[in-house]
Amino acid sequence: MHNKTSKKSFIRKYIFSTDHKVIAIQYLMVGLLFLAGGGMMAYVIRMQVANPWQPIPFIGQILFPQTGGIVMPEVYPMLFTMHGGIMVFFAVTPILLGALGNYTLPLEIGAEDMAFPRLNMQSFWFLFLGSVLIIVSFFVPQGAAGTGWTLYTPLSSSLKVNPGWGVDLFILGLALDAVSILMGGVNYLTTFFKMRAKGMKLTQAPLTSWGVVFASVLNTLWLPLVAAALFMVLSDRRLGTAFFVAGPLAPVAGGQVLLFQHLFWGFGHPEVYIIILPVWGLVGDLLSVFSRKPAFGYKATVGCMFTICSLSGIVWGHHMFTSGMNPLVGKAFMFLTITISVPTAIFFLNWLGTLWKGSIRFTVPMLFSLGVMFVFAIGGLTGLFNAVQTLDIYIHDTYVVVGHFHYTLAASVLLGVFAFVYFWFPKMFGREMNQALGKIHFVLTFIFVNLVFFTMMYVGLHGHMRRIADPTAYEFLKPVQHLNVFMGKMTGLLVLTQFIFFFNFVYSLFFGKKAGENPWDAAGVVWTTSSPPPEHNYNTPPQIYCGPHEYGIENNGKDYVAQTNPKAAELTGAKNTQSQVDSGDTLPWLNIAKTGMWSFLISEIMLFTGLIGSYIVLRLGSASWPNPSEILNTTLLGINTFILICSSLTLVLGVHHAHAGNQKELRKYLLLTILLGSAFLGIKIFDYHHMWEHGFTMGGSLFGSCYYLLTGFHGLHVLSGIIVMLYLWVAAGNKEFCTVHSSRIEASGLYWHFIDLIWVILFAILCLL
Amino acid sequence: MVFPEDISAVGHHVDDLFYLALGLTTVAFVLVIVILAYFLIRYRSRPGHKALYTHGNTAKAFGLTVFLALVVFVGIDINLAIHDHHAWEATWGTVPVGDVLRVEIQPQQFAWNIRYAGKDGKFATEDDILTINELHIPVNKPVIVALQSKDVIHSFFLPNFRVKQDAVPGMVTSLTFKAVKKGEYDIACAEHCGLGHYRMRGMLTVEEEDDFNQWLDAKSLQNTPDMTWGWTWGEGK
Ligand code: HEM
Ligand SMILES: [Cu+2]
Ligand SMILES: [Cu+2]
Repeated sequence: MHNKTSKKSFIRKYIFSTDHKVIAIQYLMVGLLFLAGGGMMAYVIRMQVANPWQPIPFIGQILFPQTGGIVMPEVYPMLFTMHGGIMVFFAVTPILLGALGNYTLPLEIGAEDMAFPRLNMQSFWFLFLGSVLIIVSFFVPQGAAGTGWTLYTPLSSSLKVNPGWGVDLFILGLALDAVSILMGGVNYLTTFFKMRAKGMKLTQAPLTSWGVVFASVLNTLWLPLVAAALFMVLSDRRLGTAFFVAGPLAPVAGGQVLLFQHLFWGFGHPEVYIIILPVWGLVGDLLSVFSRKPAFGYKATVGCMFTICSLSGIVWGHHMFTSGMNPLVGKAFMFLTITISVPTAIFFLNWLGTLWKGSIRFTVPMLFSLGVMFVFAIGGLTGLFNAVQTLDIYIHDTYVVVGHFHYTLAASVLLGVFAFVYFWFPKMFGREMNQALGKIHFVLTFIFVNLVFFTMMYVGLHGHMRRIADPTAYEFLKPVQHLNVFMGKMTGLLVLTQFIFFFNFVYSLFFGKKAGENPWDAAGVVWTTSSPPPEHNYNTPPQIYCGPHEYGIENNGKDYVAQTNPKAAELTGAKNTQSQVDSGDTLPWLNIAKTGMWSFLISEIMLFTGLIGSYIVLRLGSASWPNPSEILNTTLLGINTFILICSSLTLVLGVHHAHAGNQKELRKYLLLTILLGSAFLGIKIFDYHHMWEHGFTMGGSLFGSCYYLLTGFHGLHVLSGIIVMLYLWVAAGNKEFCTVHSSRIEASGLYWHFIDLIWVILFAILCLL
Repeated sequence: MVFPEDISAVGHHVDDLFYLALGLTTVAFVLVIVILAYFLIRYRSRPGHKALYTHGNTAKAFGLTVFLALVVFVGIDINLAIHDHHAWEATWGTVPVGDVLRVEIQPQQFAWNIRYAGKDGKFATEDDILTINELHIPVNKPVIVALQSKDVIHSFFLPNFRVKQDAVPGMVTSLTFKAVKKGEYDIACAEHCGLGHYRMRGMLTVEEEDDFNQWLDAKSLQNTPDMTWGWTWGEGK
């Protein structure tokens, strides 16, 4: 059934495709374009710091024709802000999660596509819309955001110090990107846990897949937190609230500046692991392939990934040692942070163990993987300096930090991205990239990356602050200015080097040597299908007999056992486990639609955790708080609560009928639920209007801000719930709807109950307490 | 010369902490890289050389893992934590008593508003002495600076003392330092605060107590009272 290549129009096949392989390539192209753009900004940044207020060589005249190629003081912050924001969210994340995740995950676990192909396509287009906003933001009056990608408040949140639309567009672009990432996460998690090929145990999945899965878990948990914070920033800017503004700038009292930093780094620290995890996984797999040895301590490696993920959620305070927080809290954050060195050390041990007594082939992807090991060793170890509280107070916000996180984020990730592209190119496009050019590209990139970022840390130790446009303004920085000049030149060379890659990529796309299905002698199941794979990946659904790393075994003149080899158990000497073939579905009691819905609901829960948590912190920190019952119409809101609870009941009945296949009854109850939901919204709007008239406005008091923000967000969720149910109601007019889609109705039901539950909580904490 | 000149009484604790961390991480790094290089040469693919088939799930590998975890945890983590604790106690953990100089600073985009208490020793009074970007302190005397930002977050950074402290709107933060050497030094803003962040530079003059008092007197003669900011010491607003 699957090997029939359906005839599709060009647009359906290459633009609005639901094929994960096409979508992956779309992500890759967008990501590489932004990587180039971000790299160009890095060059401009470095040249400005090297020779302040001099025309930027080569591209200055093109970028800034009005000023004769000179970077103006108001442009410099835009450059480093958008460089950081673009690199993290629009270059590296799309490449590593979007492209690497999308391309490798279904193929490597032997699935025919993602669990939700349409959602997958939409994820890409959300990213695309986000990218458009980011690009547009450069051209609005007063230009792009210039607050630093960290968007610290009140610099970002007060219109008085930051008018213009740059920050708003940046936040909206990030929000669209976040939607894209979360929808992607729903897909990766569901696909991984429910759609592995028959026989593939969890412990037989490649490390790359594990990396993508853990990254998705972290995104699902923590991305909504920063989304909540960014919406509050937007509200501070455009709706007159002051959640994160205090002091003379604040329109109303009670806002907390540091709350934003807690929320931001609550996500921001896990984010660095989100970015690096897929690279770790990839490197783990590639070291095994090219050492011709099984991945050493596979389970320990996965365990370390899990431990690091868990720890990453509780160390955010190490970014805030100088913010004025309690030193004891700082000590706790410091200690938690440095304990991450333990699982990281085990990780390295396993990498070295994989190489030990191997038969190492120095292919281009292998060189880049080894490069990742080298630079990540530096990045990880320099992290210790930043974690030591007393020392970090000195090096915080200097180039030590910039150098450190570029070793982990930029150097490791850049080399990892290249390892990914060189290794997977043959599978993606059916042609091989030129190895000689690849090696030259590696050597030069490796040298320049290290020269730039190591020097960066050195000037940082001398006290060189980050984010300053002109270091020559300071006397104490004079002795290291020549190093800024040096870094400028090296960055130029680094950027130039990437043209080798660009040329190799384009040339190989059209003229590269034709690749067979398995150009690397790799054992994973994906290397048994054609290059590029057919529309649904495998002509017949594969069956898995062993893990992905069975190298170093004599087998018919080859030195590995493919995952699909039925004699694998015999060849590898594994104890015969055939009596219990894994179904490839870890959650048999939860259908695919519901699994996806739960993953989505967890991020929704985290979004409301961010919002409700902020409310609690703001309220506890306030000198006085009004009595809600004197302001709000508690009776009316109580009635509204009752209405919403009723709508949950009618939906339960509807789902019941859906299971029984009774479509008419289903539609009746759906309609009833929609009506009740609409009634809730109607009363809500009436209530808003009434209170607003009586002077209880959003910008008038902190309570008003919290009330409208929380209930407003909830109202939007009700509205989207109603739209989903309207859709189901229309669709249920179709015959045979129930038999095919009852699981979808159930999943939507879950969402509606969740919305109702949130309202009950909001009602309790806003109106009653 | 890695660091800028240290003119403080306790800044060497920070430098020592750095050198300790540098030593520990260098050992770890060199170990990893030497082993890596050895493996790459020794186990390179060549005719006649075969890879060993092992998943590394042996008791030996397990033992090595536990050993490594312990070494890292005790040798690096605990070690650093203890030294950090001592350094902290010697620097931020020590509150100066007795004869200290108190200063209030309210940074704004893009300048440092500096306030001395004046003759009455009280802040937020008419005789306060105000300067902009110009901080004078006596040598060998502890100074406590209290910070509160007027607009966005700034960070008061003294590279020659190895200290910095954010100034946040809506809350008062503070830091303490003592100079042991006279001269002119930089005050830098370390937190991005807008397009003029790079030029938000202050000048620190460390001088003999007599010179300092003279300077203060001269300043107080040309003083125009500014009651738009300043707070009673220890309270903030
Ligand atoms: C290609 C070589 C790169 C160079 C030479 C470079 C250079 C720089 C420089 C000089 C800054 C500091 C700007 C400042 O504080 O004044 C910076 C900031 C940053 N870079 Fe890069 N970068 C490179 C690649 C990357 C990559 C691949 C990433 C991917 C994650 C990245 C992420 C960031 C982030 C997050 C910031 C912080 C931005 C901020 O301070 O707001 N960079 N980069
Ligand atoms: Cu962090
Ligand atoms: Cu500043």
